Amino acid sequence: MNAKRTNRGSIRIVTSVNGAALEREVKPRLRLTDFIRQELELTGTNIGCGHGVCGACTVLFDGQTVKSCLMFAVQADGHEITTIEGVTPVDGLNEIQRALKANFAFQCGYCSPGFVLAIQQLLDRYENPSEEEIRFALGGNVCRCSGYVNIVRAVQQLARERVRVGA
Amino acid sequence: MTAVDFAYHRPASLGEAVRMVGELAPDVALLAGGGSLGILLNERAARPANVVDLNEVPELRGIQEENGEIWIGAMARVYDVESSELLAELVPLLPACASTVADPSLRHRVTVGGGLAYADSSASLPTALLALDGVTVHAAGPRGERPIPIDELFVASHETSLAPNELITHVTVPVPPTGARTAWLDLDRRHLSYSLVSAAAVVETDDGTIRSARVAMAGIAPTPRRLSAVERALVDGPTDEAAVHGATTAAAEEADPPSDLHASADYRRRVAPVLAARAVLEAIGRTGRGG
Repeated sequence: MNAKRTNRGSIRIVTSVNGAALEREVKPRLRLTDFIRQELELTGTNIGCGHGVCGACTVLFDGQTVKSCLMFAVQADGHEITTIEGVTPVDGLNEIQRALKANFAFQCGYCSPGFVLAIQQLLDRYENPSEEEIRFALGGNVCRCSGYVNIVRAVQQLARERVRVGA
Repeated sequence: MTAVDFAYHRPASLGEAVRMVGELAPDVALLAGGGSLGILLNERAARPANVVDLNEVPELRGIQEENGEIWIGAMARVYDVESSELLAELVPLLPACASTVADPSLRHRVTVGGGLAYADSSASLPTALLALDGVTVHAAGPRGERPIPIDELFVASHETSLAPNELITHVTVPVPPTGARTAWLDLDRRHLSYSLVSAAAVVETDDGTIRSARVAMAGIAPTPRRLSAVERALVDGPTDEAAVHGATTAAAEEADPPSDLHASADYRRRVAPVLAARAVLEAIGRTGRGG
């Protein structure tokens, strides 16, 4: 924890984003999402509702999905952030993204980064989730194209594949 | 939108947190999981000069058993409650309730203490805690620590008996007797949205008779509320469906519901007895402590 503990102006934070250590000055009121998008230019993390409902701003905070629109950048001090860029290979797509693509589960794509991270968390916790478990686990992510059926199908297919290959 | 500028304070110990809140009150907001305060700040509905972030105070975290009671830190996340093996075994009502709060990503952040202090009329975990016997909310302020019986915490919608210079440190929950069976039910427009009306029941039965009953509901009054008239009507009565439905009719009179765009006061008053009865019947139908 290198930051000065109280400050009216900018605060120095040390954080890790997608595995890279960063040191930055941030205003306390800067939302974590805006820090990620504007300061770090990682624009895969989106702002949808700004109320913690839609999940377009989902990132991993110390390995757990969170709504970054309800957090402030100062709170990243001493913690690890992973964004969609951090789980996407330099070339191509990861297995979750491939499963979504194969099942036509990307429509406009705005919600997709959040869904990918929420699906990753889901598959970390459930080996072979039921449809109900999938829908509950993805309940914090809203697709305004309403493409849920294909998203659920993609998760089921990927989970079955992982079980089959013993991953 | 972005919040109005505020001074950010991040205590690293409980002593430091208590001192800061004491010095900065009343123009201070306490940041727990941010599920409510994050929205209020970003929407500029709240414009505190100071924000004290409680997320780095180690003494406020954790869930453990201590002297026959469960100790739950104010900054225990709702997900910690949901996934606690200790609670699953000893107080399954709490994980059952926690798993219906908001959505998984929010549950990773929002906290037990935050929900109690925000005191929303539809708050889930505060309602489940209210249904359990002997729950105490522990507060700390410049004059020291103060235990608050949970039924003395909620004053009005978004208003508690906490002083502006106090903060919640933890909650203690006596382990319910082994015969107590519990159930949590919530009614919402869609799963994972704000509950319209919800009910927690803790029931002990013996040979087809209800020996003790505690019922608490959210969404039927400005604050989470115990339904004492319903409890009185249930006790010493039979456990069958008709009798339970008969006993919970009193819920309608005990309700003083809010009316909003999600549900009218009339609707809430009408579903209150039904949901109370279903929760009691679900608890009765369980074997062991049940969830």
